[in-house]
Amino acid sequence: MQAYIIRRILGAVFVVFLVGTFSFFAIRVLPGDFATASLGLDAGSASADNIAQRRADLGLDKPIGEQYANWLWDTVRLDLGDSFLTQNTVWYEIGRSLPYSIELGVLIMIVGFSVAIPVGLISAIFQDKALDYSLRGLAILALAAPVFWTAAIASLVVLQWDLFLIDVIGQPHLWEDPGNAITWYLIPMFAGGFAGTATTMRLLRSQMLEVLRQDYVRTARAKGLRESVVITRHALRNALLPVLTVMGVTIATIIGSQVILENMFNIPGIGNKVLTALFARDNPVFQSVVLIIAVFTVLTNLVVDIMYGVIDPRIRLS
Amino acid sequence: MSERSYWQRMGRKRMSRRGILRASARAGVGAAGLALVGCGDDDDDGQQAAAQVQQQQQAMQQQAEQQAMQQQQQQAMQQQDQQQAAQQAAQQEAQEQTADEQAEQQAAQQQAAVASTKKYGGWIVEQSANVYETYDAQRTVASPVLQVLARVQSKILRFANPDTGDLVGDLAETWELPDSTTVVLNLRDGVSWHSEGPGASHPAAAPGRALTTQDIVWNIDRQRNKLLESGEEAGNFGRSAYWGGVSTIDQADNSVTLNLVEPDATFVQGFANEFNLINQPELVGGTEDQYTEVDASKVIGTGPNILTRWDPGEGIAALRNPDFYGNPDKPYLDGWVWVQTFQDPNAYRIAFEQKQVDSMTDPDPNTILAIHDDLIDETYLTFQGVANTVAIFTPSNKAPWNDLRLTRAIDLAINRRQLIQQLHNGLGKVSGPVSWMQEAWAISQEDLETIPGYRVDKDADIEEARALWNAAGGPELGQIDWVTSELWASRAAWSATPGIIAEMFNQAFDTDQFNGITKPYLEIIPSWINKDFDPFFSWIPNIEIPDARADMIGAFTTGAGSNYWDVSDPYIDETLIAAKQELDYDTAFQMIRDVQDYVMERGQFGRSICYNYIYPWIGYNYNKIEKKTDEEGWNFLAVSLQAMEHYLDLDDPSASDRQAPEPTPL
Repeated sequence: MQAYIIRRILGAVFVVFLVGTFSFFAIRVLPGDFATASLGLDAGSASADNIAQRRADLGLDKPIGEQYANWLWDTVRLDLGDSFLTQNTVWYEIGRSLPYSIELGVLIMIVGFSVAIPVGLISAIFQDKALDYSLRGLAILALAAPVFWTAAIASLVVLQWDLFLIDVIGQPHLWEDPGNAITWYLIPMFAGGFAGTATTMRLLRSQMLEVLRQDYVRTARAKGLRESVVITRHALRNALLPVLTVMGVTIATIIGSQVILENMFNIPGIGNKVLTALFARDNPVFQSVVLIIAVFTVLTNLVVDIMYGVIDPRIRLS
Repeated sequence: MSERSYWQRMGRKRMSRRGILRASARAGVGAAGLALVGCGDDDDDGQQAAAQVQQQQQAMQQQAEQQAMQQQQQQAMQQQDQQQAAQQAAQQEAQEQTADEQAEQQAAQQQAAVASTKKYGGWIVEQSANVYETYDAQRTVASPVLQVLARVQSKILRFANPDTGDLVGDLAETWELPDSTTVVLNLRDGVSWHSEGPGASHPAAAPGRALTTQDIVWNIDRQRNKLLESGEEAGNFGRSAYWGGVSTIDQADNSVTLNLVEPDATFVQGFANEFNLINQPELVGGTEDQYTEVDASKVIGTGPNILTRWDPGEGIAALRNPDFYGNPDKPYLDGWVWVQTFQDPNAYRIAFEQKQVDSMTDPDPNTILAIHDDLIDETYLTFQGVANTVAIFTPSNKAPWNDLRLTRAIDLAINRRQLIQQLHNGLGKVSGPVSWMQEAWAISQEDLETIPGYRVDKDADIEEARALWNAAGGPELGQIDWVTSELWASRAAWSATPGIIAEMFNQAFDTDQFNGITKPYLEIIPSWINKDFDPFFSWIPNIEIPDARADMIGAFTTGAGSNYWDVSDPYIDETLIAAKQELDYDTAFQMIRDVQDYVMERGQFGRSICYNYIYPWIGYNYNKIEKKTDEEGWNFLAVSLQAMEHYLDLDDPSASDRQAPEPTPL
């Protein structure tokens, strides 16, 4: 087991290194840099001296190899540098953004799993009935509808009927102003939850159908246990195991959705930060945030892999 | 009024008859008008109601007197039917002057009436640009920096009307032009640097100190010498060429005398250029090594607002300066709040429709028009030109493009009106060598319709272009890469531009020689400055003042700073230099028009100006910005003007349910 974990950790470190390297070069391949992006439309008015001065101030005039070596060495020492845009340290920027992303991510997962599990369960229990068809149709819709479309339609509905305040400027945390925060998060959490868990719902349904046909479930029923006990204690717990394994993928999907949703609702989280940094060519923030997202995703998958290895010895032995 | 102006004395009888252009003539050619304006106070419309009523009464009385005088003049004219032609002309001019004065008085009355309805208090919430390269206005070319600083800092003069160039005093209460190369600035009494706010708390700052003549001299010297306090030369003083027009500076009591290198009737207008803000020497000089580290503690000014917060990417705020010089009634607003940029139009739309911000713009005009349709009773639209002119540059200084037949063929083949449709949803107007935004100097849209290259009948242009192209051996040039700047093409709505440009030329010349490619400014600008560039399509530098003569001289005279095409033509040199010193607007206008015609006949020498586009802005009815007309914003940056005149009418029904956040208190 120890060798398995070490192997997985080394693999994770390598993946993070690759992602970090990719993000370093990706933002430099894109047109322009912070020196010109910060001039906006007026970049055409800048003199060559002006732009050269800006690039030198930011260290963008150094050879790409030297920039990469510096970045790698600084990152290993956990020195992520300063934001070109705000002059704050990147750690400060991440610290400011992360709570928003965690809040939204948790809410999306709560909504998603609290919808996916009952729906998957009901759909399996009422297999091939009208209710099953309806819920499966809903799941297909959730898979097919892009998250930005769902969120945009919901926003228009709220604006049209002036249903509640979406506090895109106040940006309150849940612990500061729960009322305004929850209405601000409402559309993104449902849009994200709806989209992110359709896979879970469909997987749970198929697992439940398989488990409900197992001998031990028949035995449980034969013993005279109530159907609710059979479903929740015997069938659901076993059906959820494979669902756990796809959780890593689900979380990665949710993070992807969050980049879109945070921008659509001006939530200053990690997703918003990465896009802002990308547009402004704020290299230190972009590279670091991508790295953080990669670490988080890899860690989640690592934990799931290890848990799965713990649960199923065949995995770690192979 | 005393005649203190050399230009006034010289140009007294030659003032423009064209009302709309008159102010421009004052500011530009007829510096006569400068002293005339400079003697007055710019802030009449901010006086108390009683004063306004008195003003109106005086104005009405004057108007009545002038009407009576006009009648007398008319009677006199009837009695003098047999006067000489010269006398008749003189009378006609006098009548026109009277008509102009009446129109001025009526405008003043209207302004006074509007001023009396303006209300005090409240704060505006707008989106910020997010990205700021520096807090030092003198070392930037980026207008977002000015959107903040021009509300906090002052200039020597400012525009009462940014589009006509009508000037009023700012730090200089009056100004005199005793001869053609001397400008005397008489500083306003009682001006002091902000004594409150983060900037005032900075250890390097001198809060509350009175403005001195030395402050002005330091700011001018710094820019014309391009030197930092450390003695190091800095290449990013954007207005160094303008200030290089000053040879020596003298100080006396409360006045500063600038001795110019040569006569320049356009010079005074540059004082009001929004970029020419006056820094406090102690603070800016003491923090020059951190000039890219933007925050409110490094900004102090003498302007109508005090900067209380400047956190790029988070928020910016400014509050009313309680000790704003000379005009306790301004500004109207208690403060400004700028929120971080909305990356997504959905967030911006939510913020606007729920009245969390008071205005909105969007690169896609359809978004703004749709929102206006939805909120037709509560909002209004304003259309505003973008001062970064769009152009196509052909390197006519080197082979093969130094064959003017090819350059002219390219200029004729550019389908300017089609580009406006394809790239800007039709929101834009074609520009001749002088942009339409410099209204007083530009060729009218009607005239352009029949000028080759701009003809509405594009087939005629194409036919001529194709003949020139073939005659000059264009088909033998092989494949031609036409560059679009990456910054332009990085905008989603314009990403197809390289292909559009290539296709436009391929169709015009019935060929497949043209390829659309992109390059970053980092490559384009140095190659352009070194005059070794590939043909490209992009913006050209921001137009900063309404007088077009300086831009024309910079682009077309021999050896000028922006003459990247090595144009060297004695006729152009002679005419433009004469225009720069010409006192009479009509004469100077004709000179500029002649040069425009001359360069257009030569394919604009490769500097093919195309158009300036327009973007829509939407605001709630309670949000009263200062506008040029009901539907038009200013062509030029008007931040200083808005800082003084913008107000809120929170009694307007559209202000109900406004959710705007409050600014951080001092």
